[in-house]
Formats: sequence, C-alpha cells, structure tokens
Amino acid sequence: MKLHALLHFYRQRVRTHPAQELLAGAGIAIGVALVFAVVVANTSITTSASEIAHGIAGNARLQLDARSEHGFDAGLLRVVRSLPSVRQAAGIFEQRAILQGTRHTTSVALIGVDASIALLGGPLTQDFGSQREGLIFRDGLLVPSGLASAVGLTAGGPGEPRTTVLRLRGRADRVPVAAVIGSDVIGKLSGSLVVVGRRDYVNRLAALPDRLTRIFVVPRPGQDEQARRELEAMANGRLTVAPVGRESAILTLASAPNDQSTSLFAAISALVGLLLAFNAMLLTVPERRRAVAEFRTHGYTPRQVVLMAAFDALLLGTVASAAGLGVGFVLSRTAFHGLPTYLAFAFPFGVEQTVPVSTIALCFAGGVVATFLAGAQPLLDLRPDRAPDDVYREEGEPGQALNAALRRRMGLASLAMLALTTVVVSIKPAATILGVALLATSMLLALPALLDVVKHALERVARRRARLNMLIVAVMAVRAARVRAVALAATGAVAVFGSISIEGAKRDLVNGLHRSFVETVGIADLWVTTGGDDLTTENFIPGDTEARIRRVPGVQAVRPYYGGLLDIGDRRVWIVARERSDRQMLPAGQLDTGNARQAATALRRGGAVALSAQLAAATHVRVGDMLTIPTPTGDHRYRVVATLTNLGWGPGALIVNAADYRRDWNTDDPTAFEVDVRPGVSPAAAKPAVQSAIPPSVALQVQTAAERVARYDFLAGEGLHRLTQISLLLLISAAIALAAATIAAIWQRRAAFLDYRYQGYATRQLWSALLIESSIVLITGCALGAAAGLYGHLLLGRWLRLTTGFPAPFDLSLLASIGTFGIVVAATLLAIAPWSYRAVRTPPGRAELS
Amino acid sequence: MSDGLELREIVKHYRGGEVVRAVDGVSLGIEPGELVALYGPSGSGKTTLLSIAGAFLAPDAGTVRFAGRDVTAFSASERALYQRRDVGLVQQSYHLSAGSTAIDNVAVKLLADRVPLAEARHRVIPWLERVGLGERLRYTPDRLSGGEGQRVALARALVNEPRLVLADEPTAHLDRRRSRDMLALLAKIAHERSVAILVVTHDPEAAAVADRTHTLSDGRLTSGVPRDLLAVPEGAATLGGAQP
Repeated sequence: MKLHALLHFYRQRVRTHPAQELLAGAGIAIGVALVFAVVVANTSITTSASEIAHGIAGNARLQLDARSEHGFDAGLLRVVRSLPSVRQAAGIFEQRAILQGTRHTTSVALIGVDASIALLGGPLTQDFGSQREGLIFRDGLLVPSGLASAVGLTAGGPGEPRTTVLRLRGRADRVPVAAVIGSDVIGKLSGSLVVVGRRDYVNRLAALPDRLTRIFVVPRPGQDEQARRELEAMANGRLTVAPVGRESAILTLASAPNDQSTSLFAAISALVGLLLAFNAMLLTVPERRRAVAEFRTHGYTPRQVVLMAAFDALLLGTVASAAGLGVGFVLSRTAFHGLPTYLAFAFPFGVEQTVPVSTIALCFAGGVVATFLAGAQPLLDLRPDRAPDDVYREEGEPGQALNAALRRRMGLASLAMLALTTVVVSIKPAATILGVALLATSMLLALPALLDVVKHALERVARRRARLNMLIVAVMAVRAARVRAVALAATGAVAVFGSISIEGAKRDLVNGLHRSFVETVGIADLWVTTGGDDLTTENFIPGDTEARIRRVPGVQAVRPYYGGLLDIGDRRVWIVARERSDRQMLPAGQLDTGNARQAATALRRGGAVALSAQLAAATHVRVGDMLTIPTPTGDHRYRVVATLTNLGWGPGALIVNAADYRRDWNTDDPTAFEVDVRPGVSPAAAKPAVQSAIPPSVALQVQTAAERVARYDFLAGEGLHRLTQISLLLLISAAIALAAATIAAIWQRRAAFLDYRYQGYATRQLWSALLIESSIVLITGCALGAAAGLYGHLLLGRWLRLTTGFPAPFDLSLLASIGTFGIVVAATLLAIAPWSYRAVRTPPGRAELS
Repeated sequence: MSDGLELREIVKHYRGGEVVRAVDGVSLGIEPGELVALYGPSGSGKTTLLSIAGAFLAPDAGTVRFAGRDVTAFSASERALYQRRDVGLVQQSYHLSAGSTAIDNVAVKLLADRVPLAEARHRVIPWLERVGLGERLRYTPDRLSGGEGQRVALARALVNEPRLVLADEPTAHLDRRRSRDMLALLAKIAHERSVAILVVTHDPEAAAVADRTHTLSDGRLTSGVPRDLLAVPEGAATLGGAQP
C-alpha cells in the first residue's frame, strides 16, 4: 500500500474518533513518562556518585578504607608508598559535615586532600598540583558552583574571601571559601555535594590531626593482586582493602530498596498506562472492526489490513511515546528531581542529570510496541475461520457483542488467573510485578461476568418498583453495548486498582517507618545531636557537655548514644550502640526472628548483636550464629540474638551494646546524648534549659523525641516522595482518562437518546437514566478495581517487606480505599454530568426532519 | 373545537446558506378515528410537519392544537407528558435496544410513564401478538428481521394506547403483504379506538386505507395523491380511497 493511502485512512479514523485516539495516546504517554522519569532519576544518582568517585580517585584501582570517621594515622601513607607493588598513592580525609549558607543548609561530603592527589589524574583534583595549588594551600574550601548557588555563600568584602558556616563534629566554624569551581573545570561534578579543602586544614576543622580515612593506590602495571595482598597484610584486619569502584557498588545497594520500590511502582504505572490505552482502544474496537470488515469486503487482503493497523499504531505510538518522553523528562527534572536526603548523609553524590540514550530508546520502543498490542484486537477478525463481515452478524450493535459463552470463559479464566497470581507470588515474592500484572488481567477478565451479575441484580430489584424505571432503562443501555460498558468499567477498574495498590503499599511503608522511628527515638525524652539530617551518625567531642546537661533542673538522666556507618561486604550498614541503662535495647516492634526480651538481655550483657534480616541473609547468619563484624580495631565476633527490619535504612542496621562499641570502635565520641526528664516535667519545657546548658562553642542541637520523629518522618517522606507523586499522577491521569472516555462514549450516542425522546422521555428522565447507567458501569468497575487494588496492596506490601526489608506492616485501610474509589467515581460523574445533560438535549438534526 | 389534531398555518424554515421553506403555511386537521396519509417527494417537509405535530420540533409560526390544547404553548414537562401519553411515534429508522427482548423494547415506552417493568411486560404482550410477533416475544433485535423490527417499533408506538399516532414511513422496510397488513392494522386502530393517525409515506397502498390523502410539496399542502403515484404497478391498490 502506498504511504499516502495509509495516511489518508489514518486521517479519516482520527477525524471520526479524535477523543478515543487522544485517550489511547494519553494512556501510552502516561506509561512512558512515568517509567522514563523514574529510570532517569534513579540512574542519575548512581551515575553521579560513580563520577565523583572517579573524579577523585582518577587512575587508582585499589583503596584502603578506614572503618570509622576517625580514620587512621596519616603516616600510613608513607608506608603504603613504600610497598614494592605500589606505583602511586594519595590519601584523603573524609567527613560528613553540614554546610550552612545564607539560603539553605545541606549535608555534604567534606574531603581533605593534598597536592599528591593530583598524581591520580582524577578530573575533580587533577589540577590541584598545578594552577590550583595556591588555592588548596590556603585555608578555605573549594565549593562546586551548583552547591554554592544552592546554599548561598556570604559575600566577602573587598579583598576578603566569601565565607560559609561549616558544622563538623559538634563545632560550627565560619570558614573562607577559597574558590567556587564551575563546570568549566570539573564538568558535571559542579553539581556534586562535595566540598574540598587542604587535608591538614580539614583535619584541624575536625579536631582529628594527622588522620586519613582513605588511601587511593595505583599499583604498578600487572601487580594489582600483589598490591592487594601487601595492603591487606599491612591493614592487619583493621582497615578494609577494596577496589576503587566499591563506593558505587555500595551506593547501588543502598539505594536499591528505594530504586526497586520506585521502579516497581513505575512499572505498575506503566502497566496501568498500557491498560488505559488498551481500554481507550477498546472503545474504538467496534468501529475499527467494522472498518476491517468494510476493507475486506472491498477486497483488501489481510496483509493490507494488518499493514494499516501497524501504520496506525506506529503513528500513534510515535507521537504518544515522544510526548511521554517529553513529559517524563520534565518530571525527572522537576517532581522526581529531589535529592533523597536519606542517602546524602552516607554518600557523596551530585544533582546533575544523566539521560542514557539506551533509556530513551527503550522507553520509546516500549511505547510503540504497547500501542501496537493495545490496538491489535480487531485483527482477530482476520482469522481464516471468520467471514469478512461476521461482525455484522453479532448480537447488538455491530462489534459491541460479547456473547454469553465468551463472557463465561472470561470469568473462568479470571478465576484461574487469580489463583495463578496467588501461587506465583507465594512461591516467588520477587515475581511480584508479574503477579500484579496477572492480577490486573484477572480483574479485567472478570468484568463482563460481574457486569452481568450486577445487571441481573438491579433488574430484579427494580422490576416491580415504578420509581426505579430509569434504572431499568439504564440496565438496558448497558446490555446494548457490552464492549463499550466493559471498556469504560475497565478504565475505572484500572485507575482505582493502580491507585489503591500503590498508595496502600506506600502508606504501609510510611506507617512502618514512623513506628520504627518512634521505637528508635522514643527511648529518650530529649536528644542532643549535631543536628544533621542523619541517622544520628555524626560524632562529636563531648567535652563536659554531658555533665552540664546532667546539672540542668528537671533532667533525670543523660546517656551517651553511639551511631555510625560501617561497610560490611557491599552494604553500608547503620550501627546503633546503646547503653545498658537504655529503656529498651532494641525496637521490639521491628523484630523479625528471635525473642525480644532475651535479645535485650543478651545485648545488655554484651558480645551480642541484633541485625536486619536482609543483612543476616547476606552474611548467611541466623539467630544463635556468630557474626564477624569488621571494626576499626579488627574483626570481632558477636552472637546474633535477633533479626529485625532494616529500621528504615535500606542496606540494613545493626544494634550492639555501647560498651562493646566503645571498645571495638576505639572511641568515646558519642553521636548523641539521650536525656530523660523527671516525671512531671514536659520534654518541651526542659528543652530550652538543656539547650542553654550547652556551651556556645559546641554546635549541638536539642530536640524532643517528637520533633526528632517528625524530622525523620519528613526525611522518609522526602525519600518516598516519588511514590506519592507516581500514585497521585496515576490517579489524576486515570480520572481524566476515565471522564474523557465516558464523555466520548456518551457523545457518540446522541442519536439513541433522541429516539428515547421520541418515546416521550423527559430530558430529566433521560439524564438520570444516563447518569445511572454511567454509575452502574463506573461503580462496578471501580469496586472491582478497589477489591483487586486491596489484593495488589497486600502483594506489594509483602514484596516491600520481603525484598527490601523495610518495615511495612500491612494495614487494610478500608477507609482510604473507599476514599480513592469515591473520589474517582464522584470526580468522573461530576465531569460527565454537564456533558450528558447536553447530549440528551441534542435537538433532531435537519437531515432527520426534511 | 376539535378533539383531534389541528395544525394551523404552520411555518418552518431552515436557515443555512439559503433559506429552505420546509413547511410554509400548512393547515391540517385530523379527527379522532381518522387516518390521513401524507405524500410528498423526499425533502418536501413531511417529517418536519410530523415532528411539529408531535411537539418534537417548534414551528416558526402557527399553532398546533390537540384535544383543544395548544401544544405549541406547552412547557418542557407538558410536552414530554404529551409525547408520552397522547402520541405514538413510528419512525422509518427505528431504534431498538440491542441485547433486550422484543417485550422489553416495547416496554420502554411504558417505563417513561412510571409503569413498573413487571406490569409493563404484561401490557406489551397483546400488542406484540397483534402485530404478529406472538412467537418472537423474547427475541433480541439481532434475531429479528427488518420487518419484524419495524413491527416491534409499531407495537411500541401503540402500547401506551395513544390518541394520536404519527407514523413516518412505517412500511419502508416491509414487503407488500406486510405493508398492507400494517396499514390495515393502523386503519383498524384508528377506527376502533378513535385514534387520529397521520402517516407520512411514499407507499401507494396507504392511500387505499387512508380516510384522506394530502401531498406536501415545497412546503405547501395540497389534497390528493401526487401524479407519479397514480402509475402504480398492476395489482396494487386502487386510489379509490383517496379523497380530494
């Protein structure tokens, strides 16, 4: 067939059914946009982290890592350089710090380097040995331009540098900014959250002189393995030797639960988008089946008909996918662009976006293929056993038939698929996406049979009640066009299903995290910390702060709390260390296996550990086994007394006794003070007195437990922001699609309404019949969607708990589900009410009256 | 004052590129028990006149009275009541609800008038039997022939026992025998039940059963049958029934 002929036919179809074409395109575009935005946002985080690692490490292939932020003696660098297999080595000193500008405060990676770092040739530091030498040999920080503009630096006077406030290890210092480095020097890294200074200057700021936390090593050619062995021998089990790319691997693992959740939810959104497109196409199926019949009776070959359908799909898919990519790009730069703060305090990464060509190509191709699949149904009429005009011999309006046998078969297939869903997900939780797809398909297959049941029931109720006559008329209309009714009900079902399952799982996660925070933080009335957005992992020099707080009237007890991050395998694990005198040693509500009371007793006794179930699985230990923890003083064995959820930290958490921590981590620097107030004293009232007892030179912040929980809730909410947005976008787009599809279907039926008016139906009667008809279809579809959505919620929640390890206890939340159901139905009915009123009032056309 | 239908000086013009005088000062009265056949070429305004009589369309000028009441002055609800209770409309292109039985398709008319479905179904059956569909009561439209569908539409127009029947080409889809039967049925109903019936048609058979015939041409009404219908095929009804 010639291209102009294909274009002609397509133009004709679009002219006849522009609304349906638009709907189908919108469905595809929504799916493509969500998947694209999520993939770009996720990829950008890990890619920028890798770029930063490479930006500093350059040609280094091995690294020697400290096991705590206190680092190791800088003299070790000389020893490393003297190893026979080492060609070059450079050390850095890393600390988590808080940069407080005029506009914003943010957590950053503070890295101290010296001129030798330039020898590694990393893009971020390669110039430090030459033209920037002067800069780094001054006191002050090098701040990437993106970060500088985000936080806002204080302008310096003439001849004075700009300054910023740096909060580090419980001290707040106003520090000069030696230079703001733009993309002309460090490219994309200008958007990274990394601040660089001279190493001894950063050592001084941290009050940890002559310390390093990492040494990058360039082995001599061909001697990587030997270098590793020499480094390991030197490390003597107190430092970790690893390949340079490890940081990226650790970040990938840390962000995996969030990425997995987001990706799963995006995949479900894509599935919903595909189903919306499929349903929109279903509305055009009768017309397109009739067109297929017309073409065939006019002598067109099946091949030509397939070519036309493929051409239609290609055009629609191309336009819709392109629109989806555009919207997705905007989403990834706006709504999905927020930095997950919960990761920022453990990893240095940037804000620059990376859009791989392969992602664009995959999303685009996926959109086109989805369009073809959604529009392929009329091609079933090309089967050899069907006469070209069979569609005209079916019951009811041509192409609107779904015969009883088919409806029965679909019902049975639905039940079988529901059973299959349960089996698949029970056996293999990782196959949840497949399970959810099966569930959605099962739901759609059940619709024709369910509509039959509803119609019979309503007719039974109404047949002896004259005031319910419009219900009878509505039921007759539903029966007259089954395909249309199923398509509209399915659109509602899909919208509610997607929204309830995603929103439900997200709510479980939010509630689970909140409970976890309450249990973790609720062990004290007041918390004294560095104030960073962290997991209470930034240590500080205690001085006499503890004694001062103890003397505050109303304070009953003060306990040091210790926290930190430790790399175990490829996991950056959250360490929590509690004093024996703590009210509770472990959050009992987060228990996975073990006995809470026995575990607490064992933890108080010492030498015991409670750890996240995911971490236990990764390290192949169970309750009662011994776990080897690589601490700064060497590998130590702890008895596993309980397994827990991940306490909200993706890579997992580990709880030990504070005395064990002080000994094995070789530090007395706490990361917080837990303060209990006397009975009758409110924490909020005691807070100012405790704050004023802290010397002004110490940058510590006092928060009530409630404030700290609220802050954690906020950070968790920020981390889960994308899920909220996906769920909201899905609901809005689905409600719009549903309203538009219903309006389009109503508008097509104006001639039928006119006939009712000829029978003496008043406008009001006809309008109410139409609204009842729409309600029957919408409520049936949405109710089925809600029921399937609750099951979907259960599956997703289970997946979150088992696969990601997050605390996400299932909460039915019927009220919220009913709310979603009600919103979709009410919004759609409100949208269609004026249109249906106009449709039933359409006057007879002139042609009918001549 | 007549108890039947009274159209006085009805005018209806359509304004587009040029003004089409569909109905131009037409007066026509139909008494209860009288069947009037209205002929005219396509586009002559027959359906417009019928629609005005049924209050489905408002005239530009003139009045429509039925049983002494001014239909053109009716409110929307009075109009719907008039169409529901007093008028039975048979259309050339009838619309039957797919998937519903013949009984339910006829019952639709009664549902508008608050008759419960169960009762409506009882009342429908004699009318379907009367139009010869006693054996097809539970057939859905896809199982009925075009003629059978037309008869379902006729039963639907009659089931509320209207005092005015407006039929637009009711025999268009029927063979000659069925046409004759249907027209005979309409005539019988008109006479037995004192129903005023206006039949818009091209069918020469209608003239045979009609009490009066008129022709509408260029919006003007004349009595009698158009000349081209005089040359009816052999065997067709004579025009003896046609009155000047």
